[in-house]
Amino acid sequence: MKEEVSRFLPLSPATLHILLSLAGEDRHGYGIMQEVARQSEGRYKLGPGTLYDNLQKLLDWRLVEDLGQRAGDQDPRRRYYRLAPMGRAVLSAEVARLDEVVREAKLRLQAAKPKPRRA
Amino acid sequence: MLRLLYLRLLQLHPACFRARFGQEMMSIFDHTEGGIARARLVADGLVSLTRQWMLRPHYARVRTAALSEGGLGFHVFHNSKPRTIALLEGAILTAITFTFVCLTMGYNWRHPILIPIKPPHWGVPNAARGPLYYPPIAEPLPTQSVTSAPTAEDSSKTSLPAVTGAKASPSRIAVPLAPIPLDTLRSYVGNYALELPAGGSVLITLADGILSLQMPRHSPIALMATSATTFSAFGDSDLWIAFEKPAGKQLHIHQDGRLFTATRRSK
Repeated sequence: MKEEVSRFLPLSPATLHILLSLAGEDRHGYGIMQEVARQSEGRYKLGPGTLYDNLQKLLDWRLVEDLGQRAGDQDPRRRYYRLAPMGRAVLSAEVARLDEVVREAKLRLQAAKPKPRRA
Repeated sequence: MLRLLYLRLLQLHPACFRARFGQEMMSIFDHTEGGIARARLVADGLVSLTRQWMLRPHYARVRTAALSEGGLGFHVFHNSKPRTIALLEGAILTAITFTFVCLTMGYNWRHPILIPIKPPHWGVPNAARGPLYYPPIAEPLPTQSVTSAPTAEDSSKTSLPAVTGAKASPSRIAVPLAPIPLDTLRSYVGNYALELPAGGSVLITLADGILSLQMPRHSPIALMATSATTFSAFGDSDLWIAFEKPAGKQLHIHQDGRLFTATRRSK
């Protein structure tokens, strides 16, 4: 399982953001775009071209599931997507990897911090 | 305007991608407000179009596989059916065109344009006229050997060396042949009755030194001498005739491997 997960790592920023946006609830494409913009406080905007290109990849890898259209939605053209168990595992592994990177980065930065001069 | 442009961009995407995400991408465009935001989506669509065709080669493989399975090799922008009136007009136009073509073909079948083709005229050079006739040789095939050079004595009779083998078995092969005296050719002229249950006749004529064979209601066929008694039809390699002998009574016609015998009726 671990080997299977590790072959998807590291994830690209777009893939990571899409998986993160689907971690909380099932969303349609437009919802994913809005969630990504919210998570990054508007600094990372995902266009539909990039979104669906990555979504296609994630569907092929079976990290995301296509739930199809939902009855009662205001736009019947929308399709909903869900994070698959494998996708959740990959996202967890990526977050853990990034956590390691952040921890290591903090240590390095702390060690390289210039010592205050004595007067 | 931007919507139409975006729609066209989506239609240019690979069929697999378009079928899977085209509607959703259009939905996102419709939910986006503001000219600048929509212009960004158009730019994004352009980048996506380039990416899908340039960086996703598996779509080309999918398309090739679809073609090999008998799928259509072209794209249509609209999957809607043409208007009923357009279909009706097309059907009427097709019926009119088809009728016109049929009528034209029928008229031409009943009124053929016959182009008369004049048969070739084989003239004999003046120098060759006289007691001896040098027949035209269409394709000189020196397959039979000449036994000896002509002597002065032979020349007084036939003027050219004799050909061996021709007498033993009448050959259909055109050979460089001895000239045949005009008197000999004249002796073949006449009307011959075919020895067939249905009857029939064959006319042998001589014009301008050319011996011809003519069947009733047929054009004359020029004959090319292959020996003193055998002649091949000019232009028909499967027809040749053999006379019994000069001034003889019988004539044998060989055609397509069959043999017909004809007996002289009159001169």
